[in-house]
Amino acid sequence: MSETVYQFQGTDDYIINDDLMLTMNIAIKMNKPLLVKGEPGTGKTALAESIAKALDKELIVWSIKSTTKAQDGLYQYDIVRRLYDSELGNEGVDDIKRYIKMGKLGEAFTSDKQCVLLIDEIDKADLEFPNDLLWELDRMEFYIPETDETVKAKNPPIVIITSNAEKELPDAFLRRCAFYFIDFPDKELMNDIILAHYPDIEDKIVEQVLDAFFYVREYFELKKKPSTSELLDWISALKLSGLSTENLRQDLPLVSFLLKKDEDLETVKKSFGGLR
Amino acid sequence: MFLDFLLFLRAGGLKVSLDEWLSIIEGIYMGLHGQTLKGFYILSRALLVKKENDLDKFEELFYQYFKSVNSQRLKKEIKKLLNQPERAEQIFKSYMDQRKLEPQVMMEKIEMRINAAEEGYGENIAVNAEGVMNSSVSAGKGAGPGPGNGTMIQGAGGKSIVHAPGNRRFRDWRTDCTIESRQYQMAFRLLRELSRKLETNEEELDIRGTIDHTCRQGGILDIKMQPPRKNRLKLMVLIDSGGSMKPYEQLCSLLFQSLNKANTFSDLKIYYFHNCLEGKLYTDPSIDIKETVKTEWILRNVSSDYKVIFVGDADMAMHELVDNNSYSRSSNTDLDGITWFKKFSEKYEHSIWLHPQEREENLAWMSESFTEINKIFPMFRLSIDGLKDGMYKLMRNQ
Repeated sequence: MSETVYQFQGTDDYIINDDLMLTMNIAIKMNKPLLVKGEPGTGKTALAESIAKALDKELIVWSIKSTTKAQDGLYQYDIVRRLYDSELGNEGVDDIKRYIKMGKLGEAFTSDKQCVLLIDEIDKADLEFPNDLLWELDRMEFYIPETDETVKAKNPPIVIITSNAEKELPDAFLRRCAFYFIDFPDKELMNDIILAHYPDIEDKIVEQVLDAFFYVREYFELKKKPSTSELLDWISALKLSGLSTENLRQDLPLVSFLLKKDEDLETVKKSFGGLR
Repeated sequence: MFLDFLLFLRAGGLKVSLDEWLSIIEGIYMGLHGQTLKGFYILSRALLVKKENDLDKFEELFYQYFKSVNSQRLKKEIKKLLNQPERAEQIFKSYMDQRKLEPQVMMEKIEMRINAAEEGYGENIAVNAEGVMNSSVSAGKGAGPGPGNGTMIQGAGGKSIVHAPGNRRFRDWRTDCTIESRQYQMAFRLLRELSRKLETNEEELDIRGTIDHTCRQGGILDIKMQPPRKNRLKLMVLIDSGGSMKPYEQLCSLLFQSLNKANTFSDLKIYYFHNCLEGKLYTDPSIDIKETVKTEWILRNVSSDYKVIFVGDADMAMHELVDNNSYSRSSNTDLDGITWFKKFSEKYEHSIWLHPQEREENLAWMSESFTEINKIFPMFRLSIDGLKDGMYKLMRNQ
């Protein structure tokens, strides 16, 4: 086996568990896109960043919106501009290539070095969207009829796809991916995650914060449970504010960093009002 | 290779395709499983399981299949090979040929596997010669699933990778439960027939057509319009209301809301019936006798390209269904229920029945009327899976 084998082992600020790491390596080695699902805020997007960093590769992010079409990722033919140019008699109208602009996928394919391509929140797009990308991701190539060219990936990118499970993805698409579901971290893993982000934080504070965090997560019936990213924001806010972290669980200072929905804030406040 | 396991998974209801299976074999040849059961678990999970809903099922099946395998037994099995060189040669032949390895390497490989079995499963996965990955770093960090919570794949310490049964951490993700409004809506979005051929006055700018024509005119702007692409699907929903449907009221109201919210159909008609189809259908869920339409009128006036969904528990008294002389009927000229149902199924080629009950798989357990209706309409349960299957059925009539 002469091909390069990348060893992804997590980075300093991204804690990864064994399973995910093995799965990631399997996906990389088998040239399959890795589909990552999980609760919002469990670090799906951060995974791609950390992989790019660990393997020292460029990261290309294609954020999917509800209006995104598969074509947008491949290339766009700016036909209107060409029309303008032709009306005004500008130079270079004959050259169609001037009006072809690569999308994110096209960019990843034409890149001289292998890169990491993150297709973020693929479930945001239309139901048919993943199917439209089947061929392109499978063969790592696409065809531009306007110029009669086939764009083939010079160095097939490492593809990571995230989904918040808002929509079911089509089976044909799933069949071509490797899959990983990020579970919500438990206390211990969370501890490591906090330490990775704030290496100089005191143990006692971490303990307090974790205690309060899991208390909020589990005790209340919340619409949107706070996740890792909210916890990290909260810690950073607590540190900046210089508030005392004694009795964190009772006082819950700056709780708006954890809870983003008004209803949830109400729920928590109400229960405290009742207690006092 | 492992074909039994594939068949076992499929028999267990995990839809594993041949493609996926071949990629596993490929993965094994590449050594991605690292010669350990844990490695194999991760590899097969990554490639075979594609939905979080299936994780639980997979874990369960994997446990069932491999529960008798543990490090001690593996070690014993491999050790046996050391004393039986002929048998070992037989087993390893294709492996060695494939990699063009010398025969003496075989013994080394066997030794290596014994060590692998000895050291447990989680750590030191990089036992094979290629050294694909090395998990010891993160294992040292203690970033694994965390000891003590009993998840199945903390492999260290020679502990069996196979988890304690009943400790199913992915159980929450199963889909055979009933549904929320959003998921309903997603299911209804399957009902789409996009087309530009609509009878509508709306128009939108056809950019490509405009440019094409402008070019043909030698640069003089020639604007072209076209009708927008819209869903032309027409849907008629008939809902059983009141009586035995009381317990499912909330479910039906959810369905109703999502139908309205989905709002992507070119036409949506909703009617209500009470228990069984009669000569009249109600236009209001309260089954007000003043707000009715004649069933005959609907059959005559609603064109056959409508897709029809019946919603109801299909529990009716048999006399309602088949006896047209019943005194309970509003008039003697009225037809019996089953005739009405048959008329609908004849006219509307695409029709299904959704029922809210948790029923046994075996039809014999269901009520008589349920069985009768099942002969006329394909029936689906009002759950995510059921609804989706129903929608596919409606679209393709397979």
